[in-house]
Amino acid sequence: MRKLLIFVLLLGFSHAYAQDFIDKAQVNGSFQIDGQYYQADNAIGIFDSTIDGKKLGMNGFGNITYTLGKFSAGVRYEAFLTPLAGFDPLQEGNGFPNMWASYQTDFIGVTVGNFYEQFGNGLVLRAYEEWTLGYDNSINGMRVVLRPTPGITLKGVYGTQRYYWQKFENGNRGIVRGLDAEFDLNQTFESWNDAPVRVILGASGVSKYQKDKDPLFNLPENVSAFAGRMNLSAGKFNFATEYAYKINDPSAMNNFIYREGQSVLSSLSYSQKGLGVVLQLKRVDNMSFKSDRGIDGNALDINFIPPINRTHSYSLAARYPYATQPNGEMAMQFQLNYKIPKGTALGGKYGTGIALNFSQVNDIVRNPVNDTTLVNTQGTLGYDSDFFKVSDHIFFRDFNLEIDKKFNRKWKAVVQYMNMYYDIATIEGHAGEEAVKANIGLVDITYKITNRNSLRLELQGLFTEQDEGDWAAAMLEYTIAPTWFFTIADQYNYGNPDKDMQNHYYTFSVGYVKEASRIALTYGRQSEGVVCVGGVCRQVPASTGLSITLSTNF
Amino acid sequence: MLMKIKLTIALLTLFTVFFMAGCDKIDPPYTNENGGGGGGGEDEVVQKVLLEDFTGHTCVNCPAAAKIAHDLQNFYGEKLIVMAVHAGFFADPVQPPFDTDFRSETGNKWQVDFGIVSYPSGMINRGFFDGARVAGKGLWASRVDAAVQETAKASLKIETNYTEANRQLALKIDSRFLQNASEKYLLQVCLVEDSILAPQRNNDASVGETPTILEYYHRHVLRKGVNGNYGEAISSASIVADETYTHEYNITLNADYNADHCSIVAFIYSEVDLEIVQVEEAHIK
Repeated sequence: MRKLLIFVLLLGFSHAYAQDFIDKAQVNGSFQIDGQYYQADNAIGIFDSTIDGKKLGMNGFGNITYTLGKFSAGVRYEAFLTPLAGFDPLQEGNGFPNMWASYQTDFIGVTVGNFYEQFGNGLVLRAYEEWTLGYDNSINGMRVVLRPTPGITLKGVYGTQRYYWQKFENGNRGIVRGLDAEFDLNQTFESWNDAPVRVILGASGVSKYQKDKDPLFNLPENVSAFAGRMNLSAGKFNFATEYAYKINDPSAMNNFIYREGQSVLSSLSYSQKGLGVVLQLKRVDNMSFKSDRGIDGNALDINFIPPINRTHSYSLAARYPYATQPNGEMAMQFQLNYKIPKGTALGGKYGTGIALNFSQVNDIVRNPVNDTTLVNTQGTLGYDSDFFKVSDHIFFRDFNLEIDKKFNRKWKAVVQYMNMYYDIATIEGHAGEEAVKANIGLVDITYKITNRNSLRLELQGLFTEQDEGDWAAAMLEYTIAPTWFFTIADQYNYGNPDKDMQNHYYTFSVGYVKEASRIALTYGRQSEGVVCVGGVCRQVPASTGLSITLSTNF
Repeated sequence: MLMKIKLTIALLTLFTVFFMAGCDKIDPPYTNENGGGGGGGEDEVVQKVLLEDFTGHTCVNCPAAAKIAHDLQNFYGEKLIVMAVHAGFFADPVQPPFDTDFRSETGNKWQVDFGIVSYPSGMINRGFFDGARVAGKGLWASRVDAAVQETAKASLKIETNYTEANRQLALKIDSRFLQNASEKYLLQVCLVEDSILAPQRNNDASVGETPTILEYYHRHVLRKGVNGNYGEAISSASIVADETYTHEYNITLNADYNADHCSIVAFIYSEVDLEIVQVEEAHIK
């Protein structure tokens, strides 16, 4: 019905303004296909029964956006046939999950259909899509954005969130409603226009409605969350903070406790040429907020708790990524970036970059609500928690130092050291397993042979007594700019306590890039692991085979 | 300008009041005490529901799920039958103390065929709710509640005759439909053992010790499919209302099983959509 309506609207539109519709319009798009052919590989635990006949996995999408002046409309097509290993089986399917149309002026913006949105840092609302995670919690409904006067932005949204291919019907998940107001005081008040301090204030309210169909619990059908935020900047300093509060929201995520939720995120930064310093603090207490209280996986999140840890890109440095714990965490991060000026002894001809980063995440302290109730017992208030107390239980700690240096026109290098503590029992659910304490070192050297040809070598080592023990990795990449690249890489788990699992995970890749299109072929083994984006993670099973990625946009 | 700001503030105040009014703050008691069990007169056929809990002894979230199943059983009484299917990665016997093998050929087959990948997961009468057959523990209660409300299509009666001396168990199972049916229905019979003491991983302190409950009672463990993994047809011809279809089986109880804790779970399901229309449980002694 919806498809038909949009088609009729577009048809009518095209009939009335046929010439403008074509000449003045702009069409953009992006496409990607990720495919893999799976092979049994008994050495790393992949048997025919593991593959279970699903020898070929294909994930693909296409976005097309049509813009004509203040009007725009778009569709998103997806096909997971069958989904790649590690993606939720509920992804299997194909069709147009997202369609939207929008009209924007300086005063008002209206969107109907599927849209993404974020209020502030996302503590009470963030709808987004992350392809590598197979995550999409877009809202299907309506959004209105008003800008009544300079510096004031009001947003209102309502709708239901995407849950794979499942249609919203018969109250099978909640309805989300939200309001956000943002005031840029320096823009709003003329007398503040040139003030040395810039002040932005914001406030959000989000409410979900879901019918109580649970026979055991007396559940709230309307759950609201509120947030207030402030951003102050003066010269080279910036301070941003946001506080969020949620009323009782018993759910599968918090073991059906009736405690309210709270979260605060603050950031203080200083920035000048060649120097940047950031300090961030965060507290999260019972802040999982989903539009279906019965779901406990990566889906239907209304809010988003931003991680304040460095995201690592090198393979072994990224082996133990942190996943945000929405039920409770106290986190801090300190980041220093300094560029040793060129022309100095340490800076050399091009300068030397230094990045120092430290982050730690602990649990919150939970005390029983009374003498007879255990902490987190379902159908109770759950626990009491002192806002400022930090538990001794460390979830994650990462100290890392990175130095990047360009020696001359031919050579440049990146060196990184990392020391980490990773509570694998909490983060990956491996109860009883000792926390991973690891030292990781890596060097990344690039040699520019000619203007078009370059070689890049990565050498990495991960040293730990826990989990799967020590790893070594090497990667050599040859690039013929701007079109070709060839890569050979190996990760060797030489320290695995199980001698039979001391495997090599080798890969060979070739890629071709032309304009905005990219094709990459990879053959080899993928080790089991976790991939995280923004603190949201999914398990990646071990696999062997040939993979292809094809993407283009226009 | 000032007018617009005042209007903005007035609008925001209105919406905030609207939102605050939309909050449901729940006061104790948080749980519903009235059970959903009972019901049904002497001659009335009661619709019973099977909750299959796919679990494993190294699955940290599974004790919390088993507790939900237990709470639901307390709430619904005999209307709800629970069967714990140990299968998949988390059920693999590994290093002690997790070297016990609770897996069964039938459970392994179901785990693969129904695509159970995340744990704990469950099926309620193997029915589709909102397009999905398999559900996480947070959805069990509402789905069980919906399934219990269904009108019964058939009845099941299990007679057991267990001989202690040779551990022989004779079964007689009567199936009766309330209406004629042209669709093919099958009867699946399972042996279940309750309260097996063995270690279990756990991360819910409100359920027991973390990270391991050494003396954990594994409830309603599926031991085997008595008549294969997918049972057998109730009748080779169309089903006639009120006719009794009888199936008999003889098995020898494994010496490791505690006969005092063993029971038979039998269920009738449709060949078309695999949905269970009736289930019954009877202790073997």
